[in-house]
Amino acid sequence: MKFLGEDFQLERHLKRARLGDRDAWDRLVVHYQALVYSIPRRMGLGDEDAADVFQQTFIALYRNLDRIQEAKTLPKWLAITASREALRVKRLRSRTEASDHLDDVLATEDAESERLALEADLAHQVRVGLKELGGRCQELLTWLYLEELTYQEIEARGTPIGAIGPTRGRCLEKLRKILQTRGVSEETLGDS
Amino acid sequence: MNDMTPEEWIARLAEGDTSEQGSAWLAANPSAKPRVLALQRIVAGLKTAMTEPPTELTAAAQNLFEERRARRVISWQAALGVRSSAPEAVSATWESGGITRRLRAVRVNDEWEILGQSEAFAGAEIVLGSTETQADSTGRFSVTSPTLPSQIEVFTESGLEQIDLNFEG
Repeated sequence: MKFLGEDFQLERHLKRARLGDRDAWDRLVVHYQALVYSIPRRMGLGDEDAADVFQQTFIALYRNLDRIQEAKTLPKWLAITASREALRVKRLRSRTEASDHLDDVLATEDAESERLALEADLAHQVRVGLKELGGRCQELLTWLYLEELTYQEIEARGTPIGAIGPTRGRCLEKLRKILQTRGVSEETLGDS
Repeated sequence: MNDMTPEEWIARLAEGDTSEQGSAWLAANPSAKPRVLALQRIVAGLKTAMTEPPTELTAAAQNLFEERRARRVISWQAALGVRSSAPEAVSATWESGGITRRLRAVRVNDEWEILGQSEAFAGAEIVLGSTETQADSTGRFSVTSPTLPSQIEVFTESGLEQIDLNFEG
């Protein structure tokens, strides 16, 4: 798949999904499923609750397809929707809702939703950026940070231990630059 | 470690290196601090970026798009999660008039606590089995019952809605 056109493709999928194209909807689901599912999981919800949050978030997306005009706003919209639903479920579970302090609860939820949305959005951009990075760098960063392999295990896959550190540094720097070009804010990534 | 490149130092520090050498390198290269912070966030993002949902959830989300949506939403519930022969929690979802409503039932001490979770219940009077209650302004309500009720009545300003319940367990 040619990666540079992904944003354009997502825009097209969104438009086609609004018109009733099942295949376009499927592609949107696949593209954003990890983003949506990661939020309740990171908030400590169990399998079933995470599944419920996932379901409610995609139902909300389905019902709001006409209102979302640009695909680039989708990650944050989904992240906020999922985090609010996850907070609602969490609160229901803990039964600690204090109606006397509803304003405080809502303010805390808003702040928490915003923070989670930003983190989830960055994680999503990192995921997309990692694919764009491709090749050896994608492989090495996946081994290091996703599979959490040891240096010895990576060496067994053909990369000399002495090369892992320098390559990792270069790959992370490449990924940072990709994220900058994808519009991840300077505030998020820091100055060059 | 003396032959490490700046990129390598930055990557190490971003991963949480707290060694004296790392601190000394950063003190000697303060301009690298923003990049260390940036990579710390990227590394944190990498660790959560690949959280994949179970396959059946993805399939269910895709099925949402099919024509008979209300039925699909209910069958989606049935596909969710691991259901034992004696489930501790079940749920029912249905649609009418473009509004999705949802109930969840949790078994607590041999009783079922039935919880309304949808904003679409806001302010409605609810009759579940022999129990009557009123949802709050956010649509939440809770009733207990020894068995799972087979019907719900929802009174709103727009009228009465009676739904036969089939909790998916």
